[in-house]
Amino acid sequence: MERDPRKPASGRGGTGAARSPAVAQPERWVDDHGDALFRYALLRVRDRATAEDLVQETFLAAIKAQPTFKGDSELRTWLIGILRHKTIDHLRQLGRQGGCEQPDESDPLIDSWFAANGRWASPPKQWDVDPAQLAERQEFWEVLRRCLGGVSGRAGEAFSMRVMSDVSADDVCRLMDITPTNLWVLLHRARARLRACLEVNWFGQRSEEQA
Amino acid sequence: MLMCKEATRLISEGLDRRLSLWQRISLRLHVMMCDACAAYKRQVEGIQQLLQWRLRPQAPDESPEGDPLRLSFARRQQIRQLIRTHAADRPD
Repeated sequence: MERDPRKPASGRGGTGAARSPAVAQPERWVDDHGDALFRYALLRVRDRATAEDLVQETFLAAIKAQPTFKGDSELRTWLIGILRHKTIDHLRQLGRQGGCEQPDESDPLIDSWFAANGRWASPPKQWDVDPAQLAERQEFWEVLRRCLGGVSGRAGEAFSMRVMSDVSADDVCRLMDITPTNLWVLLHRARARLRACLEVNWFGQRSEEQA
Repeated sequence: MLMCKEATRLISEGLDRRLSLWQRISLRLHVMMCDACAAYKRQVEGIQQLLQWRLRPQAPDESPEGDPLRLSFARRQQIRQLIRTHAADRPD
């Protein structure tokens, strides 16, 4: 039943390796990678039209640079790398810097949820994710998009790349210049924020309504 | 003894890599005894599954117009056209 994900062949294998068909067919790039690139940009710039512009610029830059693409990374990783630079430039022009919080320092927000002994100070409410109920509800996805947009800095970027755009963990580490341990910490921070935001803005409200 | 703060970190890390045997055992024991961490685990894993389902690859004509997490139909067409033009211009 699963549709063929039509991922590009990895193209690894060094110089002289045949270029994978997906790379040689730029007309398929938008269908194969357009949504993944868009989601990354959307969560960074939080504005639909700007995100679409950045994706368009990325594809144009990629077309021009295609002869220099050596096929030593996944096509999507290469495209996300281009988009990442364009996004950073855009945010810099707005005076919004990417976060520079360090994964090896403690996280004040997560710290505030726990007592000094490591037990919950403000435990999660009891709710469950019911996919059958949520999957088709457009309001839920709108809330989720806003919550994701609120996960700022490097945690947000790591989550966008790894989960929202399905870039491999190795490639995320390479693009963001972090270690796997850093990546796990950043993803934990992103998930913790996303969970808390959904609790406040969706699940918590619903369970109170039912009570 | 695993505390809740560390347990939440392992719950997330378990989605990204295979935890060590010792980590898996201590996490499982903790979650059995701790309702708050059990809820946290169900919620974080549920959100992850929901996202993976939602972001599964779909043919462009399957995605409804106005989907907040996908390129709009018009923009998709526009970019496709641009790529076609530029790819044709480029000498190979």
